[in-house]
Amino acid sequence: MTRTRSPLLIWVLAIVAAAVTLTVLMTGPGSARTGTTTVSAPAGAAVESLPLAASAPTGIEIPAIGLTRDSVMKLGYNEDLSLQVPPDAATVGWFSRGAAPGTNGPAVFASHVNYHGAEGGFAHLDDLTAGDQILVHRADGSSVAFVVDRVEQASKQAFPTAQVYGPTGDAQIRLITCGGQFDADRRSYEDNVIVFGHAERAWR
Amino acid sequence: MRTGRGTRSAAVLMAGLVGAAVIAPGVASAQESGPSSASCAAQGEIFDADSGSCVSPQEMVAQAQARAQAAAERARARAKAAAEQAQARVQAAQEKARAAQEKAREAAAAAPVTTTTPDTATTTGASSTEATTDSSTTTTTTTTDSEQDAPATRSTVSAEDAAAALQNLTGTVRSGLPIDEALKDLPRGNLELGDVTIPDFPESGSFSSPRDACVYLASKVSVDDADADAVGTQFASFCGALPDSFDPATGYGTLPDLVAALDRLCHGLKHTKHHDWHGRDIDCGDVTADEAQATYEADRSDPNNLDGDDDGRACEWNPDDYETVAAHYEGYPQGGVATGDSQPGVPAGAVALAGLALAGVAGTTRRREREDA
Repeated sequence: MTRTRSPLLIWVLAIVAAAVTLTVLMTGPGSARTGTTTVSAPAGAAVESLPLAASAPTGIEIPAIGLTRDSVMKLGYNEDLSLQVPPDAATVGWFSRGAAPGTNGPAVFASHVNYHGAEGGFAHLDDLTAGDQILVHRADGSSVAFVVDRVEQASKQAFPTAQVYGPTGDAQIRLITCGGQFDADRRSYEDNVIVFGHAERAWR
Repeated sequence: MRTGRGTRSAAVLMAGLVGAAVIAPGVASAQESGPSSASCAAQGEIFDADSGSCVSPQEMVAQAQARAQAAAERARARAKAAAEQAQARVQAAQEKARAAQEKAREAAAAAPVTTTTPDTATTTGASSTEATTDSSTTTTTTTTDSEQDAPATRSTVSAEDAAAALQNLTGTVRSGLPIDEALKDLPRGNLELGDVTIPDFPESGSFSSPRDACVYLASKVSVDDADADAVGTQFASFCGALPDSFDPATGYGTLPDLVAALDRLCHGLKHTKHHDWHGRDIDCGDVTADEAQATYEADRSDPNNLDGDDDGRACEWNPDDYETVAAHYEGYPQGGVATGDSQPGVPAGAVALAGLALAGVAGTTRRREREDA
């Protein structure tokens, strides 16, 4: 005896597979995005003048790449004096020996593009474009909105140290992750993706 | 019936394609991870996960150095391209400034005609009108420039601090002079700025572009000869990214602001341990833990600075000791940032969904085959 077949289930599963394929393609490198993504201050927030007094970051939001973190770890130096990086894929770190977000100077944040096979916090950093906004929350209860100026990819062997860590006359931000060609021998990427931005406004 | 088989075939084909796309990176990744190194250690050698064999520490160091050198060569090529781009930006800004200066000189040269030759003005009406117009334009332009320079009086840096910063930067004492004048006739430094064209001190007596002023000042900086290349490259990169006009909104509203910033930059760069641009340097982010330790063991003088806390273990993960290592370090973090260690892959959620779809299609197809039988 043969039961009535249900092509509907087959088609549903096929559609799911197709959707997955599209998801993979659309979330892969080089995916196109139109327009920029901004952040807004909560109703009733009091505007603060920039630059702010120093206060450590406690959270970061980048709506354009769907990133929200309620905590930020402090980063220092590795044993060879390179920048320390978070010990897991998802965490975002802040170089605590540099400028605090909202103070004059570059506040430097770093997170992995991937780590031990898991997608990193800054996996889609290269999707950001000039005009996208980044929101950083601080320990003193204030928040700072940064605007992306440019996104660059630089060789780690010719890292633009001065541009990334050097002094600035206003409050700026740097977001760093890996990019470019993956060197399987070294298990590392040859380049860094660096987002440069400046503080636009702050509130509490 | 034929339609049902076609549907099944299409579904299986699609699921298969998705499954293959998803599984492939995982298979590749699995191939990269190697077993433990216990057997090699027993022979006094190190397990090389890439070749799947035991190698001597010397061989492992040689491999690491070869890879570092190859990467450095690639980096030099890219750095050269970046420097050329920066140079092009600086040259474009310089040409723009020169054109503006030339225009101002021409206008200034034309202006006295209207004031010193009134006869010409009265006898040639058309020329008079043209000359008067030019003079008016010149006056207006001059006023505008003066207004644009107005923020210079609102520098965030005092004259004394600017003079001290200039002295730190160039090693030359120019106290008592206005900052613009103090920049004139400074002795040449030793930074290797690559192909960047160093501008002359402007005839107008003041720089209109932070980029030009930055490159000019960079050419007056001296550091240890061993660092002249690395610090010069960083200065050229920094200058190339500066705005082409002084504007408080950019953080560089005045020349004293820039001089103070460059003083801080120079201090940081002088104290930064820079990459060896000749490819001999090996960084923790470039090698495996075994390679790092083998490299350190091969030369305990630690020229690559892999054992910053001098405890005999290279590139270890011990944040407490890092505090000790860098407690008095005044430079910037060295080199690039090691924020990735895996092949670019597909999102985990997509992998799960694809697997679910694949399993579902396979299960449904198998059940139908049983039913058909």
